[in-house]
Formats: sequence, structure tokens, C-alpha cells
Amino acid sequence: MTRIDGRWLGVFPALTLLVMLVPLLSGLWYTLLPSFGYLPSLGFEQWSLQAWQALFAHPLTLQASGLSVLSGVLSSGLALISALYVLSHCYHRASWRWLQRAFAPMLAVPHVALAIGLVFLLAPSGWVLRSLSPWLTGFSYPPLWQSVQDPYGLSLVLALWLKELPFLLFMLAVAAGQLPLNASLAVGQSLGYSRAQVWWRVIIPQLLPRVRLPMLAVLAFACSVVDVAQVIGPTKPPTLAVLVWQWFSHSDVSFRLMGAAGALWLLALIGSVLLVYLWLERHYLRWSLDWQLNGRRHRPRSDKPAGLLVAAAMLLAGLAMVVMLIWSFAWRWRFPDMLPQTWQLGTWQQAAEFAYSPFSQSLLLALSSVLLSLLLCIGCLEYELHSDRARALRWSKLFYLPLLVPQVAFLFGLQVQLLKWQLDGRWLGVIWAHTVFVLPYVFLSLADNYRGFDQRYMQAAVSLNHRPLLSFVQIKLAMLAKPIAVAIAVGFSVSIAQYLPTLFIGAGRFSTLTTEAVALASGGDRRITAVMVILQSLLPLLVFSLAQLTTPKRVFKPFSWTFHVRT
Amino acid sequence: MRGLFAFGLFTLIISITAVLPAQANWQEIEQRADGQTVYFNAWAGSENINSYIRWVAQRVKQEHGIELKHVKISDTANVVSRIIAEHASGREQGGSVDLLWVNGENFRTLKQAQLLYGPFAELLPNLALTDQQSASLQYDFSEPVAGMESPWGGAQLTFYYDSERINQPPRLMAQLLEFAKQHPGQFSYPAPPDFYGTTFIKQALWEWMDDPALLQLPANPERFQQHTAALWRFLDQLHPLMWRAGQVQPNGAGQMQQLVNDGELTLAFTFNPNEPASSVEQGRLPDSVRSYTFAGGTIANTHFVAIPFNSSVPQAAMVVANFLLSPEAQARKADLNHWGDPSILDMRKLDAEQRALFVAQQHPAMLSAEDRARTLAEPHISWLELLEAEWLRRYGK
Repeated sequence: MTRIDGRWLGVFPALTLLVMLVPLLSGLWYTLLPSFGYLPSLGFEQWSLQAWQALFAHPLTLQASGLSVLSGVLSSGLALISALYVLSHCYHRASWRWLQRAFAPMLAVPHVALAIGLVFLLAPSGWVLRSLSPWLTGFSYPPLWQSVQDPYGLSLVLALWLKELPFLLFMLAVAAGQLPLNASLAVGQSLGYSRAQVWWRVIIPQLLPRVRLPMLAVLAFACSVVDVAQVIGPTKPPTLAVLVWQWFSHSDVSFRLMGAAGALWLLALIGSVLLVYLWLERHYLRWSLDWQLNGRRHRPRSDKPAGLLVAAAMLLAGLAMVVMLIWSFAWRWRFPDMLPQTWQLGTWQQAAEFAYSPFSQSLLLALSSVLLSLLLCIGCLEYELHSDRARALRWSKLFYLPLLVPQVAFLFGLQVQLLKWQLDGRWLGVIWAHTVFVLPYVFLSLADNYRGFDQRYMQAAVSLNHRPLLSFVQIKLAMLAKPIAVAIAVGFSVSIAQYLPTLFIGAGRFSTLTTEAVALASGGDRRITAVMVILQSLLPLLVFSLAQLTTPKRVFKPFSWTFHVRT
Repeated sequence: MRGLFAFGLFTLIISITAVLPAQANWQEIEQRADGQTVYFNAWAGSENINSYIRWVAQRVKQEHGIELKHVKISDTANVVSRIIAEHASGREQGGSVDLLWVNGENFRTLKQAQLLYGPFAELLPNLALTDQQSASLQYDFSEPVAGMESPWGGAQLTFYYDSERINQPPRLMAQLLEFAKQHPGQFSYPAPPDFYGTTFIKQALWEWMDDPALLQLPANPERFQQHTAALWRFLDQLHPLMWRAGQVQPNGAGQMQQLVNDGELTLAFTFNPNEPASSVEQGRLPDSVRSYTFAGGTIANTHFVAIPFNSSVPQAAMVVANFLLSPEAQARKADLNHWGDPSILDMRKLDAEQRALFVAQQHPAMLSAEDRARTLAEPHISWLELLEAEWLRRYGK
């Protein structure tokens, strides 16, 4: 394709920006106005600072803010450090392929599913203590521990860490694929540094800027997540995002003004956290220069601790899923029995009666939003090839904005906007809302590999057959099949996990596996919750397995998505 | 008296006819309802309720050609927010909600904001099968119902305990404190503004107030501290003795039930007097569970269904509301094997055939008839806001 051919591609970035920014900005606008007392439809027309005063006078605000920031920063920080640690020991070693396969399911399982599973596992009446009681612990009734929903949010940190670790590993692996790793390692090791030393001194400083956006997204998500914090987070006070969500949904409508102020306060907090991270990332290298250049050589350290860390994370996630499976077949299962006293198939039969519609709606929503996102992303990335690369890179960063802004800060405003356009409760509106969150992740997981594609394959193909479109599909897309499949899987699992957007923009008329799971989780029946959570996890797991099985076209063996080295 | 009532009803219907001239005739309403789709927003935390609503959907489809869709929600306040947002954006027709399971604060919010359709309840033929004179049908948390919602079921704060672990459950708040001292960590209540949590606080206030009759009157903010001092003293002592030292509280009746089943709690409460029994039947609670109420009675109320102002199918919504009040639907609802929610119908107004639909229910975990009769009215709604705010100030952290 020549430069002239590519001009029409400008439609894609324009359309994408429109799709991403219109909901975000209008949503924020309609959150900003109420925070200053202006919500005329509910009879609030007096501009005032009352909502802000009420926010900071509220007894829970400060503590909840602290909890949000603390749990978000702690979980993301630990996830980054442990992901780097694992990577520096395992990347491209014997265990790496195995590790990638094992982490894929953890990437697929929705956050809230994992959180519910962890509660089933770690609560004082959870499976761990059921297995150890009474023979080891002597408990015939659950002890008075606070192993989940602890007031410091540590169990929340654990749940978030467990979910963010595979995501960051995945993003780091994609980024590492773009670096001349083997050369660096060869040079470093020939100078007497250990593998891990080369990683920390040479490779990681190059990697960090490349995973800046994923890391910012992780930080923003962890500080502002609602559903996970509701399941496993502290309650007195809850995290700020949960508190704001409670205010927004309070039946006394005047709470919405304070909710709007609280949402913007959360946005400001997250903004500061992100700025601090950027600042740290920028100065990290300078501060560590002495250490980087101290010239000390270490003997290679054992890989075992890294392996152990991974094994522990996977064991925890695996057990959380197994306990869910057991609950789904239980009839009566009391403490301290290790397994249910009586079993049944009834819960699954019950679910079969009604699960079809949420199952198909989840599938349809996910497929449409992922395909739309993929189309827009590929269009934008192609446009980059035909335009000024530096400029293109700059505007594509705007795609990530929805990941950096807490959902509670713009979903309520967005709801008002979509209502005006009569788009709420309709497929188009819900697919749009999903796309806002799916597209950034698809872009994130696709862009590096896509940009790394050696365009000379295309040039060769077009010069042979003179058919750019055919070459594009048969050569480029086929060679990029693996990263595209992985991007689809990531986007798919993001769509499946959406709770607030489906509920609000769908006017409750779209029942997905996630909305069903959360609605049932508010009741008292662990068995049916388990069934719904399993169903909810099943779809993304399936898509991830398919992505794992996808192989790029065989003819072009030298290319592979993780091993790719830019030429 | 009866004649006077009939006259009152007559004038009411006349006045409604004046408001809704086209819809006064029930047959006409039924005709227009045929083929309409009703989005019924109802709390969906319990599979036996969901399955009951699926049955209702089948029946109204057969009988009236109505497509009933259960919109599964986890918190009714969210739906109230949505209706408000729809109003905010000028959606006067084609609203997303056609029928809403509601009562108390949420009803008041919608009614006072004039976001409800009606009055419609008096148009429903089956309303005549209820005791329309009873205060619990005329007032919803002290807010006059005024035909803006139609009754669906009765509720009463009901305590239950694991009889394997205690013999004599506390029947007074003072005894509850003793219980908590002897069995620390085995009782808790959801944190207000959760509906179950505020009900527990109101129940406790009723026992700790010198003159509980004041609860029926609007709260006096100036004397509020004086009236509630004993309540806070009680809670100050209770909280450290609760589950997880009161630092975490369950998120609702569902979680409390789960915790009793797990053995973390010994004593809990719910709002459906038959729920402990139906939960035992359905494997959600151990066989050893028994239910009871407090000595002075417990707070009782009614739950309703309402139609938002912007529903595009109010006729079909009314037909569904009427079906929910039918002896057939109420009998199935009361059956422990289905939902187990007590009937709202007045048995004296049913004929023999209708009465026969109601099977006599016997279950060891069911509330006794004496306990069932000991009911207290909901306090005036103005107490709620003050109690919630003060509770939050004291125990929110």
C-alpha cells in the first residue's frame, strides 16, 4: 500500500476517538455539574460548594480515600515487582512456556469471580480451614478471624495482586519481545553478570517505559474497582469507590451531589497516584545509577523462589476455582467438613432453566464489542503506517483514557447522556459502553506486535499480486493471527467482566452472566452463586484456550509473537 | 360502616375514572395488555424467588398473552436512581421499568418525586381479597399508599438460631446483650443504610425508648439524642461482642444466612417469617434452625409492586400486579417448596375453593402462630434519616 492509498484510513482514528472520548467527556461533564450543586432535573439549581463540604465533612471520606489509595498502590506495586522478578528468572527458560500456559486462565477469569472464590477459600469458614479442622486446629466452629474483608484491605490487595500479576506478566512479555534480549543477555553474561543481573540492570530499565500504560491502567483500576472491593474489601469504611457508588445509588437523591463530588475526588486521587508513578519511573534510573554501575558480579541465583511465587499464586487461584466447583454440586456443606455431606445436581439443573439468555447475551455483547474494537484498532494501526508515526503515537494514547478514569466518575453522567439520546437499554448503547473499556485493552495487547510487523512482507506480497487488500488479509493478518487472537481473548474477557456499564447503560434489561452472578451473590445461596461464577469464567476461558491454540501461518516460521525481534 | 366504605371506594373509583377515563374498565385494560411486554424489576438474590417469578411469567403468558421479563437487580435503590435519571433526561414515555418490587424509603422517594403511575391499585379486582382496612396496606412506612402501589406480600422481622448451639434464644434486647457476652462473635447485623440493618436498629430503639409510642409520630430532631441515648449505650456494648468484633458487618440477610449455615453466626434475622423454614427445606440452613420473634413483638410491614410514571405498558403491568394478588399466585408464593413468602390475602374473603389452594404448612423452623401475631408497626419514616446519620457518625468507622 502506498501513502496515497492510506489517506482514507484517517477515518479510523477519528471514529475511534469519537467512540472513546464522547462518552468519557460527556459523562465527566454530567458528574462535574452536580458536584457543584447543579442537577436541575432533581430540583438542584443552586450553584454551591455544599456537596464538596459535605464530602469532606463526611466521617468516612478520609479513611476510605486512604484505603483506596493504599490497596491500589500496594497491590499494583507488588504485582509489578513480582512480575519483574518472575520474568527476570523465568523468561525464555524451560519453565516459561509452561508458565505462559498456566497464567492464561488466570488472565481470563473475571476479577469478581476470583474474588468470590478467594472468599470461599480463605474466610474463617472457608475451605482451607474446613480442611484443617478440627484435626489440626481443634475448631468445631469457625474461628473469629478476619481473614477476608479485613479492615486494612489486605485481602483486597491479595485478590487484586493475584489478578494483576498475570496481566502485567503478559504485557511485560509482549514488551520484552520488542527488545534485543538475546544480545543483551549474551553481552551481559559474557561480562560475568548473572542473568538476573542483566535483567535488572539492562533490560528492566528499558521495559518499564514500555509497560507504562498497562501499569497506569492497573493502578487506576486497583484504586477504583467497585465489584471486587464489594466482595472482598473492607466495609467499615469501604474503599472510596464503593462509598461513592453507595452514595450514587442511595435512594435519597440528594446524596448524588456528594457522590459526584466524591467521584471527582477519587479521580483527583488517582491522578496524583499516576503522577507519582510517572515521576518515580522517570527518576528510577537516575537514583539507581550507582547501584547499576557498581560493577559487582553475582553468581546466578536459584530460580526456585520465582517458581515458588508463581506456584503459590497459581495454587491460590486454582483452589479458588476448585472450591467453587465443589460448592456448585453441594447440597449441604457445613463447617468443619472438608467435603459436602450431601451432593446434588439440582443447582446446575436450576441454572439450566434460565442461564441460556444471560449466556447468549454475554456472548453477543462480547463478540460485538470485541469485533468493533478490533476493526477500529487495526484501522488505527494501519493509519499509523501511513502517517507521521510520532504524531500517531501521541494521539493513540488518548484511547487509554477510559482505563485511567474511575468508572464511577463518568458512568452516571454517561447514563444521563445516553438517556437523552434514547440509547439506554438498547444494544447499540450497551455495545458502545463495552467498547469504551474493551478497545483500550485490545489496543494495548495488539499494538506492539502489530507495529513490530515487518512491513517488507507486505511489500513483497503486493509487488507479486498487486492486490493490497488480499495481501493484507492473507499475509499480514494471517501472520499476526496469534497476537490478534490473544487481543480478542483479552478484549473478550474484559467485556464479560463488565458489571456497572452493563447495568447502567443497559437499564437492567441486559442480563449477562456477570449481572446475574452479582445479583445472586447478594443472596444467601453459595451454591447458585458458584454455578453462575463458573459459567461466567467459562466463556473467557474458552476463548483464551482457542487463542492459545491459534498458530500463525506456518510458512513464515521465523515470526512468532513472543520471540519477535525487531529487524 | 361497610356501606360507607363501599361508598368511599365508589367515589375513589369515580375520581380515578376522572383521571384515567380510558382505563377504568378492567376488561378493557386486560384487552390492551394482551401482547405487551412487561419489564419487572425485582431483587434477584434468591433463586427460589427468581424461579417463582419465572412461573408467574409462564402463567401471565398463558392467561393474558403478556411477556413478563424479570430484570434481575441486586439493590432496588439503583432502579430508583435509574427512574430518576430517566425523568432527569425528559424520558416521559418508554421508560425502562414497567413494574417494580418496592417498599419503604424507595417507595417514598418515587412517590414524593411524582415518579409513579396511578393511583391504580383500586382498579385491580383482586385487591378486594385483601384486608384493605389494615394499616399495613394503607401505609408503607408511614407513607400513605394511596393506590400508588399494590400489595404483594407480608413481612415481619423474624429471628432464627441454631438450636444445636443454644437452647434459649434472647427475646429482649437486654438478653441479646447477655447472649453476645456469653457467645462473642456469634451475632451481627448489616450496617445501615442496608434495609435489614436499619430495621434492626428501629427494633432495638423500640425496646430502649421510654415511650415507644413516640415512634409513630414524626421525630423531633432536638430531642432525638435524648430519645436514643439508651439505644447507643446498648450498641456501644454490643458492637465489640459482634461477629469480627463489629469491624465488618454482613451485607444483608443473604450473607447472614450463609454465615449461620457456615456456623460463623448462631443467631440471625430476616424479614420473611417463612424463610428459615424454606431455607432448611432447600438446604441453605441446617435442620436444627428454629425461628422466633422478640417478646414485645417485632416490626412488620408489607412489600408492594409499583408502576413507574413512564412505563409504556401500564395496562399489562396492572394485569401482572392483579395476577400476583390472585389466590393461585399467593398460594404458590406461600408454599415453602417454592418461595415461602406469606400470603397477603385475607382468608375470610376467599371462597372454599380458593382457600383450598393454600396447603396447611407445618415445619419445625416455622414461626409459631403467637409469634406471628406479635407485630409492631414501622416507625414514622422521619426517624430513619436521623437514625442512619447518627449510626454512621458513631459506628461508620
